[in-house]
Amino acid sequence: MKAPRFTSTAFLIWGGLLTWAAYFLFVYVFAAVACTRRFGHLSVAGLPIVSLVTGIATVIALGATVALTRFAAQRLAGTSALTRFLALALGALAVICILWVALPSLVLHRSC
Amino acid sequence: MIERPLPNPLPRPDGEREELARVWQPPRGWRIFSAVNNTYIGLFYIGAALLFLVLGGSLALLMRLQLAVADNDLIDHDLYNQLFTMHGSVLMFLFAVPVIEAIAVLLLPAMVGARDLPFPRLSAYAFWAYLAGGLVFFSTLFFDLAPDGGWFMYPPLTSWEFSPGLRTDFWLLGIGFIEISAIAGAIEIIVGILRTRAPGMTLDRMPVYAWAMLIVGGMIVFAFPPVILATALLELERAFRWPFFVAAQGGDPVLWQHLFWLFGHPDVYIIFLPAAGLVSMIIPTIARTALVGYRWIVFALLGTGLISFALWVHHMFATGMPHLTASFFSAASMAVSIPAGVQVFSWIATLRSGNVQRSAPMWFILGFFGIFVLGGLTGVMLAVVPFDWQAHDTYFVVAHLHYVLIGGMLFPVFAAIYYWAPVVSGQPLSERMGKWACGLMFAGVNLTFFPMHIAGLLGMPRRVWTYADGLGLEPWNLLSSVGAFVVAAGVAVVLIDLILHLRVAGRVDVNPWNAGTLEWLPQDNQGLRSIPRVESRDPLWDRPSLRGEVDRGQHYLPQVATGGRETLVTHPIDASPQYILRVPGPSWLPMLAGFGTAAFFLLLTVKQFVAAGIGAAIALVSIFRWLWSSDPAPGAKLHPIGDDIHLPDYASGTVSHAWWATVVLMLVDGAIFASLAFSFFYLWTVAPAGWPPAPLALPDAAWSIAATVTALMAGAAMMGANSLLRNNRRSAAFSAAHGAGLILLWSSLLCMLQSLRAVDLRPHEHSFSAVAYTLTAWQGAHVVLLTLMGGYVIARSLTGRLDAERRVTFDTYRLLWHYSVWQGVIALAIVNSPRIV
Repeated sequence: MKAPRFTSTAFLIWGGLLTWAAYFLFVYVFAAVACTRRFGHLSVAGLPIVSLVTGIATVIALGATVALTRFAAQRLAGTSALTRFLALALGALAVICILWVALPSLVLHRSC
Repeated sequence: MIERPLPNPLPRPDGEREELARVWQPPRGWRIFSAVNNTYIGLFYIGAALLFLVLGGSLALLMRLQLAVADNDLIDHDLYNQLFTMHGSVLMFLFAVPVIEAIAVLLLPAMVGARDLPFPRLSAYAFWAYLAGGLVFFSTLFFDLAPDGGWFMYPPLTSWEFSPGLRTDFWLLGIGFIEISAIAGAIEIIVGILRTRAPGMTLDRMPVYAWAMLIVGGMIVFAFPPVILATALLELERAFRWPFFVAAQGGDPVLWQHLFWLFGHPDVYIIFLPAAGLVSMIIPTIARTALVGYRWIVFALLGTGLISFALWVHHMFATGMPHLTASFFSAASMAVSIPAGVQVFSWIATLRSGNVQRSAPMWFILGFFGIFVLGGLTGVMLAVVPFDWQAHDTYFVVAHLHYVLIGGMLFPVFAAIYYWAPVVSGQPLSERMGKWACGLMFAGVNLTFFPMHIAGLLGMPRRVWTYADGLGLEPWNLLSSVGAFVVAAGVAVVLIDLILHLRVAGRVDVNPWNAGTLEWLPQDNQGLRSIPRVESRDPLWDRPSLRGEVDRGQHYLPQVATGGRETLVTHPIDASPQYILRVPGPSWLPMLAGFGTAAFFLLLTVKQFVAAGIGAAIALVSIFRWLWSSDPAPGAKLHPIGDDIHLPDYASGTVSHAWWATVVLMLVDGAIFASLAFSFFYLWTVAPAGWPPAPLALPDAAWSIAATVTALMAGAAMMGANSLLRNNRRSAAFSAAHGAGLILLWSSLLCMLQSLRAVDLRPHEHSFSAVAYTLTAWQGAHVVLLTLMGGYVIARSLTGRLDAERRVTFDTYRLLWHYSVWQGVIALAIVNSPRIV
């Protein structure tokens, strides 16, 4: 049997958490730039712009994490049980982390 | 079930074991310092790290003497500033990170069934550079030249204006190259774990400690570059007035904090995760049962490793950042407690399900539990932004960080010393002394640091050299001072035990704890007699006969196949054998290169440029000399290793271990570059007026385009040279393509520089131009390096050491070449990016 490729296996295992990392970086940079460049106080349809963008990013990140984790679980079927487990568990952790990071934008009314 | 036959039959040929011992014979007498194999370098490394523990700890005792009573005048504020700066710097940079790498250098090869690490001379080089540089760095205290800006050296306190003289420079250059040494160790560890595991040791059979070190190696690769860049930027600012951190000229001191803590926070986990790995190895043995939740612990290590990179801003809550961004980091700081907690529960479950031996390592682990969990809880408190504002820069934080670092790292390391000492000396350390040491340390740590929580909440700021009488701080400080000496007594007991009982034995054949992992097989200087076929996670428990089989030479590679030192390279996932790696033997060159590197950085600090140049030349010549023998000619035949497997003794391309090391090195390089790009965009974001502000102009467009085109042409030239070499045409055409590539690379660099000079940008005028010139200088450093490497490649080609098959040197060069080309193109895009906004 041909050995699985290291790089693709690593990305499949890390997929969920890397999505969280990208999401985290995006919401942090957006909020920081919005406050520094003084457009953080703006609202769209009654919602603060930072909360709105964070909310949209959260939905996208959650969808991407679930999809990536499912994909990883399928691709890693037949490889070692550990790699499949890690992809699933880290995907689940990523979902918790995304929700956790998104919480402040729901409860904090002032972004800046 | 039918059992598979062992890889090699008995009887083994006469003299096979003796031949193996002969090629791995360590040097005798004073030549022992030319040894490069992991068993010696690992011990040297641990010894040096413990020396720095004593030195750094002694500074803490001096500080506690000063703070024992109010209004004390034993130590003045200037010396006190140097003491706390050196205490933090020495223990973080010269003890904590080196000792975790040192333990890995010593233990990992045996644990994964390798004869040595894949780059023994790199380990030796990293060690000697660290030892020489660290000792000189520490001795600055005796010349009133020690840094005094705190271990995180915030500007503007450390700027040329507020910290004239050499003190800050010693920190910046001294620490800078110690980080390089740490990165060299990380490359060695990553490649060692991924590529030199015993056949059959698939990822799910890998010891937890190997997992921990693999993840930590990756973390070092991405965490150390930001601080390397930060130290370089501050040194450029101090030496040439390039204003990266000067607000009046477009810089921002908070940029330093971002870069420092992008390193500083993962660094806590870089220290903790290996300790957690050690704990996960010791607990199952001590509890005499398999680790509960192996998969969960691996998951926790991976999760903690990645999430730890998103916590850096929680050290900066008091900088006046927006509430929401602070909350993101607060949330991430709490999220990391999920995987961290999973590990603790797995350990408790393992202890609960086993039959625990009450031994010295166990007591140290129980101490770790108590102290680390308390530190973790105060960490959760500090992750709450309003609480952090109250406790920031008080003794509460000092208490928290010491609980985390001593509990999470020192106790497990001492547990490891007591647990693995028999692997080195064939006999255990004193149980009695170990238990006394643990008791003293546990009592001392709580006596020292618990009162600091209260002193902090009473408002005592950290880093003050004294405090006034009558503030209610006296009893807490006196208790802390007494406690510090109790901790010191505990550490002293461990060191005395080591001096009395640790001996470097030759052959070691003991397993006093009845452990299940490979490092407890009979070992000699060559490691194992034969490299075991691994069939489970705890091979010594699951196959009791393995001990004898390996020692009789019935497993893989029991012979000397190529006439020198060797180990097996295997697939990174399924650990199937791929080729025989010829590893180098003793040499003085790594020591010379290490001393030369240390001399270069330290002499540069005191502005002895000629002497620094000599140091650099010694380092470079030594490195090139050792590399000369590192790409040997491929053997003509395949070598049998057992199980009817025949392997080559050479591999190039993506299979080669050198390729993997180069890729890791490029990740380090890329992370430094990414940190510089981050600095550019960060300063742009906080710039109050335009980027660059008028009258400064953007780099000249025509020269920028010319630089981009020539860089891409240099990349094409290298592709051409590679194609010619692949077709074994070592002719004028290969030399012409290679030479043209070098000319194009230099042309691109000069065009890049001219794009700045054409619009009269000067690096000392504004942070924009300072970053633009730094990007150019960074690219220039790569071009100079590639030119040196190019000369080396030509020399190998002319002497017949480079062809279509023997091409690892060229592959390494080619990878770095293409990396540099794309780095140059992206750098040009970055400095020109304000055009599109």
